[in-house]
Amino acid sequence: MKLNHFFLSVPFAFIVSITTILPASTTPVFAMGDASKFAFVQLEYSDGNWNPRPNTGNRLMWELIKRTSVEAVIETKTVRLDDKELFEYPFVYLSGDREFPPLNDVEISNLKLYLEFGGTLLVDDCIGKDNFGFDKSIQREIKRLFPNNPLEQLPLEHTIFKSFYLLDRACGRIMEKTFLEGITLGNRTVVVYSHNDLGGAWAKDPLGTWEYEVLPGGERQREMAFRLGINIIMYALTGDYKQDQVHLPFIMKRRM
Amino acid sequence: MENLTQWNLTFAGLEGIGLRILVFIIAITILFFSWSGIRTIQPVSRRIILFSLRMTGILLIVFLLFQPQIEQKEVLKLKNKVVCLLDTSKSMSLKGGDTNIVRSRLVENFFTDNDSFFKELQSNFDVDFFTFSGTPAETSYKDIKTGITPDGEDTDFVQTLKYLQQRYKDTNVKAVLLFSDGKDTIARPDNVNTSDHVSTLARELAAPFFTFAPAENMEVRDIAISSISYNTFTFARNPWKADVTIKVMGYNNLKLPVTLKEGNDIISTKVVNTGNEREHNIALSFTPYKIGTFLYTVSLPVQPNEAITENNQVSFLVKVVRDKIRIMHVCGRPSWDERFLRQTLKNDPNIDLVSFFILRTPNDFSNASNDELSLIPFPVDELFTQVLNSFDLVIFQNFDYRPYDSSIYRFSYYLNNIETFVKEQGGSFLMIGGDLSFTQGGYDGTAIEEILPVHLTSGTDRTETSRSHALLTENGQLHPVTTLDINRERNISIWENLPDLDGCNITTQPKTDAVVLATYSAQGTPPLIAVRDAGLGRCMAITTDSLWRWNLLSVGRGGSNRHYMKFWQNSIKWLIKDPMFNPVHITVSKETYLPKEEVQVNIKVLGKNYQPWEGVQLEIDVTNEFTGKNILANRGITESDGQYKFSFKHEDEGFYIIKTIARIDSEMIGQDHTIFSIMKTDKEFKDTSIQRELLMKLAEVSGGKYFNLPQKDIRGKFSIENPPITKLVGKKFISLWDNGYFFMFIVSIISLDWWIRKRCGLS
Repeated sequence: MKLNHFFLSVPFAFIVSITTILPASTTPVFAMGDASKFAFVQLEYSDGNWNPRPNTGNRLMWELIKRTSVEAVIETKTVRLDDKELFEYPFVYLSGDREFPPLNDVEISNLKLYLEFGGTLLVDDCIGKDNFGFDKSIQREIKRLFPNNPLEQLPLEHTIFKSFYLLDRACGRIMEKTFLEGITLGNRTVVVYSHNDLGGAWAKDPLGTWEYEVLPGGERQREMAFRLGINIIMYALTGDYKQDQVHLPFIMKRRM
Repeated sequence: MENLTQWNLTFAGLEGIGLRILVFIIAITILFFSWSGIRTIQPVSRRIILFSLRMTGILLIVFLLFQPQIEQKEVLKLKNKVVCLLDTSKSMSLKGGDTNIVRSRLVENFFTDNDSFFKELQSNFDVDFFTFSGTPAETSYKDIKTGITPDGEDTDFVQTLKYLQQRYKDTNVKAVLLFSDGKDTIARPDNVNTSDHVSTLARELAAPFFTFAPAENMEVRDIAISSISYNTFTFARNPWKADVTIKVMGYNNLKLPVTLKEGNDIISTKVVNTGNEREHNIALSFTPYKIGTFLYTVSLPVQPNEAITENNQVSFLVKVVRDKIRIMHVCGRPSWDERFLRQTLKNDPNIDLVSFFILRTPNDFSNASNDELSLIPFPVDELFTQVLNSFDLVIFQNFDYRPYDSSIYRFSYYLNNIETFVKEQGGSFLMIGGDLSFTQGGYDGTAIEEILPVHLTSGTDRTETSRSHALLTENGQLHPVTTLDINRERNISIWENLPDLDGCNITTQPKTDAVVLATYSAQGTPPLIAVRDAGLGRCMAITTDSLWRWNLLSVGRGGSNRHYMKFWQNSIKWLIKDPMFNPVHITVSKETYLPKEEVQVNIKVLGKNYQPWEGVQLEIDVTNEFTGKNILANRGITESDGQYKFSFKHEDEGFYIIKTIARIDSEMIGQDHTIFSIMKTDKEFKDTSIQRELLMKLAEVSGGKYFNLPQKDIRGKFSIENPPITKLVGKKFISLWDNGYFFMFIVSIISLDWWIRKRCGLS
């Protein structure tokens, strides 16, 4: 028997329409505690601008909770690479808009261990210029991390582009590159690198105003940046789940 | 065969014709000059006497030079060889049609009816009689007339003809008389055509084959399972198929139910409408769920007046092994616990993982049309009705079924299916904690609670959210699931040092037959890991959603994630009843034995630490699978290697099951069983048809002739070439010149010639 997805049925359609006017926080949540929830964790590093978009993580988490079944903590957490607490959070966000000095050896070995054993790193260049500023430092640190695994363009067939939304390019506040780069170890992409200032597209001040204009695509581009952010988190949480054979016929049909 | 003496005159001297001519010329010349010397002598009578004496003397000398001798030869006059082959395989015992005459009796009748022919044949030829099935055995005409016993286990024309080739390598065989039903029962490679092979051997023997087979009215009335093609091992939960070939002879338009049984249970049946066809191919299939070696039987009902009923049934053993472990992983929401578990399962090449994650609930607003989403329908009906039994393990991880328990999709009904899957199909079920699990997932009072190892608290949502650690229970210290190190002390230490967890679901208490392996170190020490056998299957409850911390946090603390991996490997193996976790293993050296062959049995018992267990008392029974008759009862005690070995012999064919129960101080610690068979392969009755084509071809390629039996008078219907053949058995030479008398005679002639000449006054 072929079944429709639950959200297509009449009762669920009604519920969906209700949720559009109710804030997400009113939905019943019986989480076992914040420790079980997804946390947006930003990496703090020395002598650089590690937090150029302070209001970006909480907005993304808000959207994540509103749009998906993932339970998340709204507040952004910060952690340093040499902190043992790093391993409490399997997803970390590294951002910047300028060059930063090399990470120390402890930070590099910690990050390497973290990535090899299950952690995921999202790198977001707020400037997006190749071999300049933040990108130059990232390229340097990546070479230290994985000398034999350079950053490579993630193809459109990568699960990141279909882990929740079906996407055909990488977006952000700017459109420097329409693709993501990444490092894949085994069957898992452990580093995802965006050159388009994702955080700039997500950032919203406490009064509810978008902090940065999104160019050149405007609000549609901002929406796509949120979708990409959610997809990256979904990928971190579910891996290649959307590559399972059961999903492919549906996905291929929708992409045609 | 008779002895003859032959005489011949031979000459040993003056080898070479030239020398002999020269001697003759010299002799004639001497005679000429002699005649010239005496031709004037008077009277004429004296002249003639002298010439005669001289000629006699010269001839005797020439005779002497030729060294004449008499050759005496002793010669044996031989008969040409004829070979007579009689098929004595079991198929020759079949009765033909409605005549009630067995095939071998037809052959015997031929010998009786054609007694004068055989007497004449034996008079003119040297006839060797053989019976054959596997290889030929010599017999005699007298024995054949007394009666032959068709009891050969197979018919091998190739071996038989090779034997003849070898035996008559230097003998001129003038004919082969072959009496058979033409059925060769030896299995040969696909690329070997038996008919061609046998024909080639017959041609190489260079003798005409006169072949005899029962006539068409002698075809048996029989239905037979002539062949079954199947895999001797198959994978659990995968369809298995047997291709059955049925031969129908002497019957038309039957409706034959073909039945496949596992033990005594019918698992598949098909009805064949035979019409007028003689051969039918059908496929019987079923899906095994249990792992082990099982006895299967394909059978046909016995028909009236069937010549043989043994071929209506074929039993065989099939080993059902595990393919990849198939796991259905249903997850209520993406989380780190889910991600790390999925990653572990996906990285295991022995696991075939099918995942379904709820990525969006009815309360979520995705801000996109369905076409912009990669979400797919949750195929609940297909999953939990049609394909549920194809899985080994179902995992509900932080999954609340209630949103899908609508009037359209009764998910609570599917929960009943899961209970059946576990209890009756031997499947396994694992529930992993979280805010959507156990009572929070609405499972209290459902079929799932029936199989879970823990009772659920009705109506209240209780979770323990304080960070704390797992406490290994006394049972947990011994249980294979929680054995992360075979050393007990090290295992306890590992558990004490695992990273803290972030809370757990509070379940009231474990069920009486459940085993709590670990508790949560919080108020009331609620069960953290509990296991239970539920019917034929197994269940496990893990009440936390933060086991992932044993992975990444262990790495962060300078350790490794191997204990996390080991825990899940143990859990999966225990849940699916991996035979490695069975403490008692019974094995036999092979699956099929011949009657009276030694059956070697080895029983190995392992402790819960997987080390050999010495001193375990074993009760062993060997019984016939069909009759239930006990053929052996034995007791034994395992030695220091944890093993107990014994052997026995048994004569009766059949399928047998060896069961053992292992006890320590009267308490049962495990049991196991295995199956073996004792049988001779009865290939002769698989196809009871008469293969005249082979016999005709043999006759054709060898220059012989084929005949139907019976034949009342075979004389004059074929002829066998019979050229004379002799054998020299001895010879000797008698010399005619090498003796004193001969020399004396020559001297006398010469002396007489001299005396006459002197007497007459001649020179």
